[in-house]
Amino acid sequence: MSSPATGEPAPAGPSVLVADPAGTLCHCRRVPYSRVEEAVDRDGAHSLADVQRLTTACTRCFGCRSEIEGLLEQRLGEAYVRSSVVTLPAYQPSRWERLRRTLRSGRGRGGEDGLLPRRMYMPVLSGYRGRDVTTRLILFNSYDEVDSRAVRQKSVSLRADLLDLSGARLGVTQVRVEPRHSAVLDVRDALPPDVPWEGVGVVKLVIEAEQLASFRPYFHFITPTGITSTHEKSAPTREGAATELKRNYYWVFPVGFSPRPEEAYMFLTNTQPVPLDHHELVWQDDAGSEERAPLPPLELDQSACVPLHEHFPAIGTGLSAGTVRLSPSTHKVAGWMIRYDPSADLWRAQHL
Amino acid sequence: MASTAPVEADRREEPSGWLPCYAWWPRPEDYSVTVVLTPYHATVDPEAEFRFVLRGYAGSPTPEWEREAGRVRFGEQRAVRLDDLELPDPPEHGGVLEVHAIRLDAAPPKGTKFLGMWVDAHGRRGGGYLAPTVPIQGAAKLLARDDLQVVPGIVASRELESEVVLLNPTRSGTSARLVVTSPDGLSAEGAPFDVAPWSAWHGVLSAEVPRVRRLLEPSGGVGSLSIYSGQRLLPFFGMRLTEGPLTSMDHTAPIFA
Repeated sequence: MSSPATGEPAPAGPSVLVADPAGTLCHCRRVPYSRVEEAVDRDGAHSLADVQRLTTACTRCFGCRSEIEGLLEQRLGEAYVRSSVVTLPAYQPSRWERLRRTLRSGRGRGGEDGLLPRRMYMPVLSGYRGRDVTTRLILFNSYDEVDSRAVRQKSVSLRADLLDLSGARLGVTQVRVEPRHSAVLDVRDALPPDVPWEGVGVVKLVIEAEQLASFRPYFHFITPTGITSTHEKSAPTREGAATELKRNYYWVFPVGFSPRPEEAYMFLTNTQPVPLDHHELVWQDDAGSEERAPLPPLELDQSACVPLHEHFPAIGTGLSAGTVRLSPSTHKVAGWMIRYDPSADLWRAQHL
Repeated sequence: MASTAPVEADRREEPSGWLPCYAWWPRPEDYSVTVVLTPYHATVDPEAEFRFVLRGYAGSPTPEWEREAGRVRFGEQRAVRLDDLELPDPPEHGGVLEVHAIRLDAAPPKGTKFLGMWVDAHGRRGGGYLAPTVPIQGAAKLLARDDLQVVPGIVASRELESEVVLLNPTRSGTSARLVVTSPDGLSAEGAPFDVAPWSAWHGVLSAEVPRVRRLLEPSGGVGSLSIYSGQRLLPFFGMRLTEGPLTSMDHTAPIFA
């Protein structure tokens, strides 16, 4: 993420990290800042939906939402009409398109125009709560002779956005990973020096679905005392993205008995365009008693890192077992469970 | 090694059709393990009722031990400490822990035929891991390949070490090999080894893949791992300082269709 800006597309070679060129606001649709400014100043855009309609910006991965909203607010002041719901572009696949996608054996596969790219999220800690912890991403392209025989795409190109908890985009990096290569990204290098940073955020990878076959991302939390690792969580594909998904099970943070007191954090990112605004976290121990804590409202790409041990002190003692669940059971969230043992300065992370 | 063999369906017949999931059964002197059994992770149906059974395997399709964890209605949960079950010790490298969640009021839906639960393991020397139990059969997501799983971000250096656990909850033994690639595409490979039926294989990366530390030295000890096997296995990995405790044990990444 710290590599010098050499323009895009990324040049040939091994795994390449390229800072994105200045002037581009929507990287999916290649819409420059100037076009969005024009839409507001000349064409009468008063909302994100207007900008989407007039410019096509923010209609694929929605990563430029915070920049567009900032621009609207700056230029329109109180005339800016803000919405907590992000509009999806009107798109109905034709019968042929649906058939083609079925033949590709997967809902939401294919990066054709009008379909959402895959959005993959990973939490980022760097100096969180003043602690010596940072984050590294490892993006592996496992392409081998079997992929070659299947005529799969060899190199993988994607974009990595660094977001703060409010969903504001702090940095953009283009990445290409050649076959059998790994891109290793140190999040400290992506932090702009002049932007306030609370030590916690999320990285969002944006990649076309057809490139996923041989591509996998994991992350490390690194401290002087150890490394903990788990994988990304993905956003829903188009079919389920636009509505509040009803789930047939709860997101659960299991808590076992522990010989040592530990802190526990539930990290949640809302990956859907509809807000997560009526939810709570429910701790239930194995004896059946419950405690509840409200979850702060989360719009698309907004995250919360909730210190469960502060809301539910029994969790931090190690003497109680049970679960914390996100209730009601709606929404596709990207979630991780993070434990911290202060006595040994050890972090542990696991996806939901 | 690149060929794909189907996983043999050798489960004991469970009339309900619900299939079990698996986790590592580690040595008790290394970890204090709690199995968290929660209907909340399986359904939102307030009428649901479950039966949970835990079993341990060590090289034979006949379990070394089996414990009923009771019937649980939606709204109830169980946290079962293996330390409390008076179990026999697993083999030196651990065994296979079977967590069988059976929904009593409903047959499995089309597609997913298992109910995953969780293992929260705390290291006796600190650290530990929280890991989901995973199925060998009955998953809705189709795999493109049974012969390969990967770990982006394995580590091996003088200061850092990775551990790999391969579970084989099938009646067939198989061979496996570990291939580590550096970020710039160079690779080192370990000798093939066997994973016996109903067994856990547990290895340390720098011992299994010669010269891996040298391979990864230019990248600060970081690379990626490919695990090739003759049939589908359930691999897990974790990392630690060379002399420190393990602080994760997540499943590896399969190659989905």
